[in-house]
Parts: sequence; structure tokens; C-alpha cells
Amino acid sequence: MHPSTELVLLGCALLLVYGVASPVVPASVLVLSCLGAVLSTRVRFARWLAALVVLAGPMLIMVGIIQGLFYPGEAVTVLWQAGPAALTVEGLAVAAQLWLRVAAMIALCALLAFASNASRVFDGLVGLRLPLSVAYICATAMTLVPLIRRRTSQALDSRAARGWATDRWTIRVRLLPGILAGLLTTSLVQLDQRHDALVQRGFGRHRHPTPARTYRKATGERALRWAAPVLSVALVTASLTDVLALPSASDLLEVLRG
Amino acid sequence: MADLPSARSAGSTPLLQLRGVSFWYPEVTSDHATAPAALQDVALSLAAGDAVAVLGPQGSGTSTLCRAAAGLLAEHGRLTGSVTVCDAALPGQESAQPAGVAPVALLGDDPEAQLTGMASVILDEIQLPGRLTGHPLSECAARAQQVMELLGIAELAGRRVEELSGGERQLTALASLLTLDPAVLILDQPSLSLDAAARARLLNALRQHCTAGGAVLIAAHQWDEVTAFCPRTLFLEAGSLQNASLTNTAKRDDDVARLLSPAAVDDASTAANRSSHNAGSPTCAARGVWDTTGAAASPTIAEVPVSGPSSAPGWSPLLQTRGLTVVRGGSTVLNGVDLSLIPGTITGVLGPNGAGKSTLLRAVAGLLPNRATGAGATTVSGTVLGPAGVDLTNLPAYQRAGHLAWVGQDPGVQLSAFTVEKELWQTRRGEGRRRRAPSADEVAEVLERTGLSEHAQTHPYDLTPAQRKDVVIAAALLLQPRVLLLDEPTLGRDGPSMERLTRLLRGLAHAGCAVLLTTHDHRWAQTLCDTLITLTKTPRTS
Repeated sequence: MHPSTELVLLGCALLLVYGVASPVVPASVLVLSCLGAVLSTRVRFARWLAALVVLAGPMLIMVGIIQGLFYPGEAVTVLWQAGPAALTVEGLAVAAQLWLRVAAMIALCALLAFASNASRVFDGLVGLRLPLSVAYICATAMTLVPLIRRRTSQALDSRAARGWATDRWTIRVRLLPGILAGLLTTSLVQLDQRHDALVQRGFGRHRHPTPARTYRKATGERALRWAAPVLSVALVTASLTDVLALPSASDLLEVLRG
Repeated sequence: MADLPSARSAGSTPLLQLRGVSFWYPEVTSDHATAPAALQDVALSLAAGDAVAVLGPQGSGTSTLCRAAAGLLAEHGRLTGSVTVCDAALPGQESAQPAGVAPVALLGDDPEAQLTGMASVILDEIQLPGRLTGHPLSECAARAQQVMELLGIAELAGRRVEELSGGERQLTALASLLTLDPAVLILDQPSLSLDAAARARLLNALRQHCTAGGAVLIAAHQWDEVTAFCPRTLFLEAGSLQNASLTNTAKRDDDVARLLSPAAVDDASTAANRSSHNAGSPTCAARGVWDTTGAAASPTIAEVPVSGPSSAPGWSPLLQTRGLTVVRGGSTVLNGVDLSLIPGTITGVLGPNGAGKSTLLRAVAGLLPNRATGAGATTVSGTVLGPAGVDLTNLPAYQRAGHLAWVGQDPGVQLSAFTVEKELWQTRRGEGRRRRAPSADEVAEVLERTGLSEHAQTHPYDLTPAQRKDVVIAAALLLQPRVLLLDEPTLGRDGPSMERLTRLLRGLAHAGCAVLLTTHDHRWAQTLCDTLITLTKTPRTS
């Protein structure tokens, strides 16, 4: 698939996840992302799952506690209560909707990030006629996570070589502020240097850089790039005007309760 | 790329001309005084085929000059005078160079910062300039292949960017720039991190560039084969070009001929054994420039095979490795290294880029944990014994730090505090719960020994790369190690800095410590080291 098509589909999926007020959409996106991670030859499923758990796991706990146990509304259906904490249908519905949206977004973005690279994203964004500077910023953002991971590992190595027991979590937490401050400085300096390196390589001299790969030009994909946003906007509009009536989280919970 | 637009002009019209160039960084001083000029009234002209070397000590303005000539200073301070390339002003000035022309290309002095972050593999990185300037992919690929072969890095095409050594990174960045076929090539310390064979290939590329009508400007703190290639050498002192200069025509031909011989390319140690003839040496010393090309004071090179221990009878080794083997990503990087360092000795590890010198030091320091899975799967085997035969093999790095100290190749990633002094407070010495920070006196003492006293309150990123390395060395000294592991300590150093480093290491050896260092400066290694070890490149198995 052309990277521009991938980016358009990503944008449409995120629009639907946040635009349609039903857990059915984010749940479907989550399942489809999972299938994509299993079937893709470019993505290691374990790595994708680890990213999802690490990024969406804490959110699940947070919304579970805040919304699930301390939902502020008065007209609620209480399932279980202990002191000020009460498990309510309404609280669970909000928590489920909130978490599913965030988890679907993380799952989809992680899938794209692991299946892609900076060159591919740059090609996709340039193909969508975005300004070169915007395409560059988005594309290099792809390299930030591995870069920060590598730099953190190097900083920890350096501290270990100076006598710090960096295999202990307490020590890591203690060192973290200093390491993050150093990383911030390094990133800012490197950003400036990378900009210079790019200027030296002709960045901005040509309005339409050549893609890094020869992508197949399929007419169907071109049509999909136009049709998907139109269809997504139509679905969101239909949902907002109640023309498309998908079950809400509360409806689904009621069904589950019998 | 045959149809790349060429900015070169025929005849004697200067390709690069600097007229009365002065530059001030926007430094804020406590008394609001005007910061001194980083460049003062610099006039320089390069015609087609010219190659000029500008040498000077650290802080003399060599890197600033390169950036000024490349048109990268306009937003970083106040620039007066004019810089023209191929009779057109650089971007930001009036009559700027038309779009699409590649007039000038700069290779900076920090290999870490020369890659764009836009590519994951080397071939993509090298093709990038052609793509950014709108050339067909097939042409970009052909040109990339051509320059990779010219620089001898064709084998790196499929490698991932983060797997490269410092020298390989430098060559990749240069290859990327060469695909644009710029009229003027500006190289800031180009031989930094390069082994002898790579320097020979770099010379070959520069010669081709000049023969084809391009010009080369090289700035450095060290006089070496690459600067010796330039027929004209100028000296920069406190931002001013000095009247004294060298004309190296005879020397250049000798050096280039010798370095481009097949033997030089095949044998990385050839450079260490070259002729002592050096027209530039006395002038360089007087100007604070380190000379890497002269003959060694003690010319015996103890070529020890890596499998042969060098311990002398009667001495208890401070460090021993037995059968040290490192396999990374399916490739054997180190293969059964046996090493023995006795007190009071300095051991140098030589070898081509990518031979595993840094890996050896990291393995000894305990910084290569066994990782069984993933792309970076690493297996370390063999034994490492510390002072008094303490078995360090299974100890983590922080416990080894009680016996040995490690100074990595890239100082930038080893520093994170806001001042040099605070960085040094981050050292922990002692065992278990008795680990403690150094005392103020100890910090002051190592700052003095490493020449950093006046920079105690400076941010490490405001220092030169060589001074940053000194900060890491100072931190290592605070561990009071019996064994010091130093990875490429000579990078970017000028004459006084090299002399200080030499004194420091000799002092350590005199105090009964052992030093294990890696370097590409064979002459320095010969004069300093008691033993030299050459690591050879193991063919990659996957």
C-alpha cells in the first residue's frame, strides 16, 4: 500500500474513533489493529503488544479508578459500593469509552510506526502535498522513540561505569531527572545540527523530492484516498445527527447485565 | 549523477571567496561587554582545483570558519564581510545562489550529528540528497553506489544507521554529500575517527574532486595525511588567519602516492611506519597544532597478536581477559581475545574502523550484557579478571567500576549535568552502601589535572568535543581506578591538549595503574604505549 493511503486511513480511523460516540468503533479498530499486527510481516506482534500494554495499560488503571469507582453523577446504577468508592454502570461506561478510544489510537499508531520508517512517512506526507517542513518534522518524530531509548541506555551505561547500580529501579528513578535533562539538551542540539545536515543535503531545494521507493500506482488506492475521508465525515455526521444509531457503552453494559 | 547541476566555473574565477569576514556569537557576558570576535577579517579564496587546509588550536575558530564558508552562521550571530560561492552570495545574503545548484557542502566535526535521521539504512541516507533535489531514484542509487565504492563503504549499504562506528558514520555522511557533486567541499576535521585505509580512500576522493574542477577547504586541529594533501596550509589564531603558511606540494605528492598504494590500503598500520619527513612539524607545534605524521620517538612497535598475552613474569596483572568473545546480531565482533595488562603500562589497541576496538573496551567494562533476542542480540563469553585476580566476569558494570574506569568514544552521550562540576559529583566510589560522592578537593584536583579548572561552571555542551572528553576522563579519574579504559581519546585535540593527555596517562602509569586505549593516531600510540595490539576486522557472517 502507498504510504499516503496508509496515512489517510489512519486519519480516517482516528476521526471515526473520536467522532462516533459508541465503543463499537474503537473496539473494531482495536481488533483490526490486532489482526494487522498478527498478519503483518513488517511488525513483530510481541513488540506491538508490549507497546500497547505499556502505553495503554496505565490509562486503563487510571480511568478504571477515577471514572469506574468515583463517577461523580447522582442518578447512577450502583453495582457495588465500599465507602466513597462505588462501581457504577455509568462510570464503567465512561471509563470503557475513554479507554477504548485511547487504546485504539495507540494500537493503530503503533502498528503504523512499527510497520513504517521515517523515509516512508516522509514520502507519504509529501505525497499528500503537505509542506516539506511539516513532513520532515512528522517523519523525524518517528525516529524519536528509538533515539530516546538508545540515548537513555547510553546515559545509564555511563552512570553504571561511574559506580551507579543502574540495574535497581530505585537508582534509575533517582537518576532519571538528570538523564532526562541531559536528553533534552542533546535533543535540542541535535535538532539544530540535523537541520544543518539536511540543508547541506539540499533539503528545500526541490518542491517534490523523489520517494525513497517506487510505489505501485493503483487507481483503486487513489480512489480510496478520496473516498475514505468523505465516508468518514459522512459517518461522523450521521452519528452526531442520530441517523446512525450505534449502541452506546451504557447500552452495551445493560445488555451484558441481562 | 551525470545531469546534476554543476556550480563549477571554468578558469581562475574563485569558487569560494571570503572577503573581510568577521563573526560574533551572541554571548551574554556578566558585564555586558562585547564578546570577542570568533572570526576577524578573514580573507580566503579557493579556485577550481584548489585544496586549502586551515589549522589552528581548539577555540581558534576553525569550525566557525567552516560554517561561515558554508553559509550556516547567519542565524547564529553577527556576520560582516561577504561569502560568495561561484560568484553568487550564499543563502541569506543578496544575490543568493539559485535553487537546484549544489555550490557548497560541509562535513561537520561531530560524526553523531552528520546524519539526518531521515533514513534507517545506509543506502537510503546516501541516496537522500539526490532525492531531495528531485532526481530519479535510479540515478540516486547509481550515484550512491559510485561514491560508496570510491570511499570503500559499499559493504555498509544494507546496514542500519545506529550500528555504525564513528569512522563509518563519518564516511557515510561524506558519501551522502559527495552525491551532490558540490563545487566546494568543506571538511571540518575529516580524518577524525578514520583509520589509515579510510584516510587513504578519503584522499583519493578529494583528489578526484579537485581534478574534476572542485575545491576543498579542510579545517583541523591536527596535521595529518589529509591536511598534508592540501598544497596550501594556513594557520588560524584567535579567529585571524596568520601570515605564516606552508606550501606542501612536494610533501603532498609523496604522502598521497604512499597512502594510495595498495599496501597502505590493505595494511592499516602502514601509516604508523611512514617517513619522518614533515615540513609542517615545527610550525605546527608552534601554532598549537598536533602533528600526527612525524616519526615516533620510540619506533619499536610491539605487534602483539590478540591471542598472545603480554604479561611479564613476576608482575601480577591488573587486568586479564581470556577467550573474550562477542557475537552481536549473529556476527562475531571479537573472537577469543586474550589480554594481560601489568601495572605501570599503557597498551594501545589499533585496528581499522569496525574492527571491534570499542566493543573490546565495553566488554571489559561490563557494558555489553548478554541479550538473547531481538535484532541486537549479543552474546559475551570468556573471562575478565581484575586487579589481584578478582573475577569480574559476572559482575555488573557498576561493581567493575571499583576496579576499572571506562571512557567511551562519544562524550556527548555520557554527560547530562548542567555544569562540569555537577557532572563530576555524579561519580560514586566505594563498595555497596559505602558508595560516596567525591569530595570538593578531589573534584578540584581532577579539574586541574585535566585542564578544566576554568570550565568548572560551564555547561558541558558549551565545551569543544575534546574538552567534553576531558570531563568524562575527569569523572573516570575520580573512581581512582587501577585500570583506565580509554576509547579514542585523541579525537579533535590540538597540540597542548595532546601533550596534557600524554602527561596525564604517563602519570597514571607511573603511579602503577594500567591503561588500555584505542586510537587511530599511530604515531602517538608508538611514542606513548608500551604495547600495541592490532585488532583485525572479522568478516561478518550475517
